[in-house]
Amino acid sequence: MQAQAEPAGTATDLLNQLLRPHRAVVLLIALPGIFSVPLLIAQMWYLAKIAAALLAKSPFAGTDVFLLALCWFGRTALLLAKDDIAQHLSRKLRCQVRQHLLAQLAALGPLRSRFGSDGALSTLLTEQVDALDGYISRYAPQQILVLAAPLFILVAVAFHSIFAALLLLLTAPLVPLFMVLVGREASKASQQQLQLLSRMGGRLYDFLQGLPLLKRLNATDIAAAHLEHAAGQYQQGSMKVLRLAFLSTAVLELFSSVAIALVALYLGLGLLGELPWHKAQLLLPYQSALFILLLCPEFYQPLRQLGTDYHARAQAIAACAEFRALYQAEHNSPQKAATQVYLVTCPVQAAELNFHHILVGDVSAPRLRINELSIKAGEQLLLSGPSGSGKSTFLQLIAGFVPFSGEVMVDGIRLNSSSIYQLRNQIGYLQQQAELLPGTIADNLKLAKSDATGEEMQQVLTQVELWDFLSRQPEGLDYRIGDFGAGLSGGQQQRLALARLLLQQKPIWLLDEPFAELDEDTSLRLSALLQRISQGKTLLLVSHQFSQLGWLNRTLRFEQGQLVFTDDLSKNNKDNTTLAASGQNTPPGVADA
Amino acid sequence: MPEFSKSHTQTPVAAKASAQLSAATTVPLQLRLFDLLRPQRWSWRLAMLLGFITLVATVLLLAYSGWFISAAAVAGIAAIQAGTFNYMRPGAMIRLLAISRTAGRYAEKLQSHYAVLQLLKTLRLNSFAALCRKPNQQLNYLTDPNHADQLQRLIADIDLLDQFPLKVWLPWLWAGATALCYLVAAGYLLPQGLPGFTLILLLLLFQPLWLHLYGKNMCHRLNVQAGTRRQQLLHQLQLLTTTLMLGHWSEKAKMLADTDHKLNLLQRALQRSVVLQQGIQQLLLLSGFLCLLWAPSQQQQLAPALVVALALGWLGLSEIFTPLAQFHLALGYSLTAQKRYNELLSAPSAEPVRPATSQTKPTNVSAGEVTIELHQLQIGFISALPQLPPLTASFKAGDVVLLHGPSGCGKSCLLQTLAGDLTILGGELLWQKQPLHQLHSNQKYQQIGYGAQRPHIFNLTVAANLRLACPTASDDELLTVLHLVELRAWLDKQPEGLATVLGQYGCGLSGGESRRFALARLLLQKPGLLLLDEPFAGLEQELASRLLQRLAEFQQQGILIIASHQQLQHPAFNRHWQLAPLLQ
Repeated sequence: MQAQAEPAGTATDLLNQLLRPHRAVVLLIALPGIFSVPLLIAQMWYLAKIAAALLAKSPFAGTDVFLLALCWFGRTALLLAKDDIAQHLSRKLRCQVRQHLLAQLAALGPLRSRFGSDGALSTLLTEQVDALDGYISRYAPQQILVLAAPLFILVAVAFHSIFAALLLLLTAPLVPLFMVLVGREASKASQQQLQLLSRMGGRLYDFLQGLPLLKRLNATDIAAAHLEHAAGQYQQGSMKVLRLAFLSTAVLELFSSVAIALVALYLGLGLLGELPWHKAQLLLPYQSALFILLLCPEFYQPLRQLGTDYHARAQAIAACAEFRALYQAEHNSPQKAATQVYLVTCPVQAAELNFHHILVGDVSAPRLRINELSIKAGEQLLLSGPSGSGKSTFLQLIAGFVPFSGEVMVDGIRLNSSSIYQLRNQIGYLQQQAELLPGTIADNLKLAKSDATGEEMQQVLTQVELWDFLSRQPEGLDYRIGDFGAGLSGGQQQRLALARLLLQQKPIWLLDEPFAELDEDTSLRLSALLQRISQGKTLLLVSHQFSQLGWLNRTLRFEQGQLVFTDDLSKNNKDNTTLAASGQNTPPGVADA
Repeated sequence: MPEFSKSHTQTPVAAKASAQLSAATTVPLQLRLFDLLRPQRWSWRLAMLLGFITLVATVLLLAYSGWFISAAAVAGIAAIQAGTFNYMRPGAMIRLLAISRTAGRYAEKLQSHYAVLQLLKTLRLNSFAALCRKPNQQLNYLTDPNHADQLQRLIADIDLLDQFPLKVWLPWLWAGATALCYLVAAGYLLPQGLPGFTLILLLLLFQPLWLHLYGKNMCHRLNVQAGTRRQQLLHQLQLLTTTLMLGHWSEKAKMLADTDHKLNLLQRALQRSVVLQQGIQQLLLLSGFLCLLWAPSQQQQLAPALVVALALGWLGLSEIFTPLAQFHLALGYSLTAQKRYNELLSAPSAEPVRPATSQTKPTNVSAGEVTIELHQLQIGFISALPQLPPLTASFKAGDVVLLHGPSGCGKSCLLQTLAGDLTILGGELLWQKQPLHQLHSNQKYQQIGYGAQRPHIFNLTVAANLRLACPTASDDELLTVLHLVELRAWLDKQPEGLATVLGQYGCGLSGGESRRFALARLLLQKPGLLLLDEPFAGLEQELASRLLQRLAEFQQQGILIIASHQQLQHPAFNRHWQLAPLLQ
């Protein structure tokens, strides 16, 4: 399933946007890293000093050793502190992203299915968000460090030898240049590789999901061949990518090694007086020479680290691409879902609904358009029309899940993002598939009313004709149902959901195709039940089974997002049902019983 | 997806695969971590060698450069003029080390990733083969979309297992080997420092192990907590609309945030343990360094240049030990993944292994009269659920049966039992006068076709999807069955024809179309008994009636049983089988 409109910007933009408010913190993380560089320089200086003393065969000072140890120690502490803060930020930020996505889902309500199944969405909120970790905790601070640290070292080196500093300075811009050239290719390639990986995992997943079928088809061998082929493809593809990706690391490695080699040779020859332009004279003291040599690998170290963490960036971008549509999805409700107000006393009497100039979606291609409509308190309506004509959207609109322009009044209160939570207390909304909690029947009913007594529960269950079944189970109200209502038939699941509505005494009922997954007998019985228990409620019911719903007052017919007509059912009740039945249910050959 | 779009003949590939599968079955059922290194033993050894060369070159480059400078400084200008100091050789040596370090790193990375990819491939094929051996009754549970996270976790665990060679075994071996080299050099040059160096290097090498129990425990808890978080989130999402409408969402959101927070605390604890490990490492490295400074003061005759070389080499070692700070973490993850992998894959697989002698040729089906008989048959998904009254019936070739009854009365359960996927709870089920459960599964599946309510369409091309049922089918045969289910018009609209990729990433089929497509695939199998569960749900009734007519003609030589909760009246049905509603 595809999100309806792709939001502007790319995954990279979203990643930057996520980090923007935390730029100061990222800088703060980089700071201990930056501070550790002078300590490193000092550490190397004392090391060089001690070596010089060794070389001169004179005893070295204890203070130098002490200072060296101190620098080493301080530097380690700073770097570890940096890691700790970075990981803290990463955890915090991931938590925030997760919260935001959760709030988005809460605002979308039933519309979330556009962004994937619940299983896929939970993967999105857990694993995909966690995939940001490497980028936040390592790559982002390293990006700052990579600019600052070499600068310090360059200055320190220049102090002792301009030539060596120039050597480093010359290679330094080449490194980012190569990083960009190779890195761009590598990042493109590593995105492809991630895609391939997911496809390879996807293929295995696909086959495992259909494994019983594969066995039935005696096709496990062929499937294994497909798998092997996919894995082989992946292997070849990734090796191609990796050859390129590791090239960027190799380039850095090469620069680092060559620079050490060059500097070592230059310094060595300088100390021997063999440099062509410095024949027979000492270039610089031994201590300085060793100092420069020691700093040389450290000059490239931050860049090498950045190169190693490059895949963290690719991972984060891939993850952002996955959840971007949901992250930026438009919706109706305010972000702060937590600040909702509870209406303790719910009005029990039926409520009326009024609609003025409603428009959902784009003006050119509206998903729903209603000019004027008013539904009286206690009226019971059938919403009909082909699939995709806007019936469900209409219900979702009243339940407050759809962004719209125009005005919806529920019992004189205007429906908007601030009144929505209050209004939802008056609205009961049921979908095709009853949403049930794996657990006992009592648990499910207590969702609606946490302090419901056994008697109350028994009463509503009797009303929906479920008590008869439950009283025959040894567990009674503690009868356990599994995932997706397992243990109850489809009809029973709908009844349980209706019992929940009854417990809450909501005056407005919105039922979206309650009979769609049920067989004829069951839906007939459920329809009769609905007629009984919905007395006095304002009821809006979407269904294709007109023949069973003669008891409703009025029909609203939708076509292509337009409300085409409203028709009084109660007047010509009989005609309508026969018409609907002959039009829908009796093709030649296969006759209705 | 181009790979299979053009390969319309797949028999050689299939043959290769069966060899692969049988090879895979020899892998022990209980995976141990070192088994991960076995299949690509030489690849790993090469990676090990390359990495070792790289690391030695890294340490040597620093040490040798340090020695060169120091020696040059000691020799001074006078030495050159006297011709006693040859600077050409050290220069060449430094260049060689620099190049071998770069090339070594590049080659090692490629090699170890090659081995990892190979490993992933083997693991995936192995786990597929292991799951293939499980009976369908177990698989149905595992592959049910409601338990989708089980499979996702298996795939994630497979990916986690590569941590063992990459982040546990190789780095540790490299560190050990390099440390040994250093120890040899140090022992030769500075004998009195040897005990100190040995102690510190051993500590560096083995100290990650002291946290390994902690790491294992924490990773396990982290995994459990992550599973809880996922499960909780999934449950809350499944109830989302209801919770929102009932006004309970803020509590639930808080609960989810709490779970997330708990996971965060565990993550923090693990990350802190890595930080602690790094701290200990640095302290050990520092003490080793101090030991190095102290030792020469006891022995004056060692050339100072060599001391400097040893000191720089020691600095180089720190880079080699750094990855070991993650050791307990990676080991913990590998162990957890290994445990779950084993739990999922090596649960008892009850597939009977039949001797080859009992295998009869599939051609026997057409020779003998097709019959299926039920005597006092008792069925049920699990014995605890309400059962149907015992069933007795018999069917022969040419029967077109409508299995009718209200929803939930056990039609699907009966069909799955007839298909041989569910175990019989009592009575007898005879296929061709033989008890069905004694039949080898290959043979059973060949002769009995079962179309589920929600068929699975694979993410393959149209042709590849169909050829799963019959690898040798020609393009014409494929077109014939597609014509039979009236999908020719649909196919003609696809620009890529038979090479059109179906499923998740490809172009889609609607619900009714996918049911018909699955039916076409089933027909290609030419089963003697064809069982269809609600094949016409969501189809226009005219189309349904045409399909039924064709199916009945197609299945003239065999039995066709169609389960439906609708009372279909069609002349093609010559038998009606009414199931009584459940005894409540």
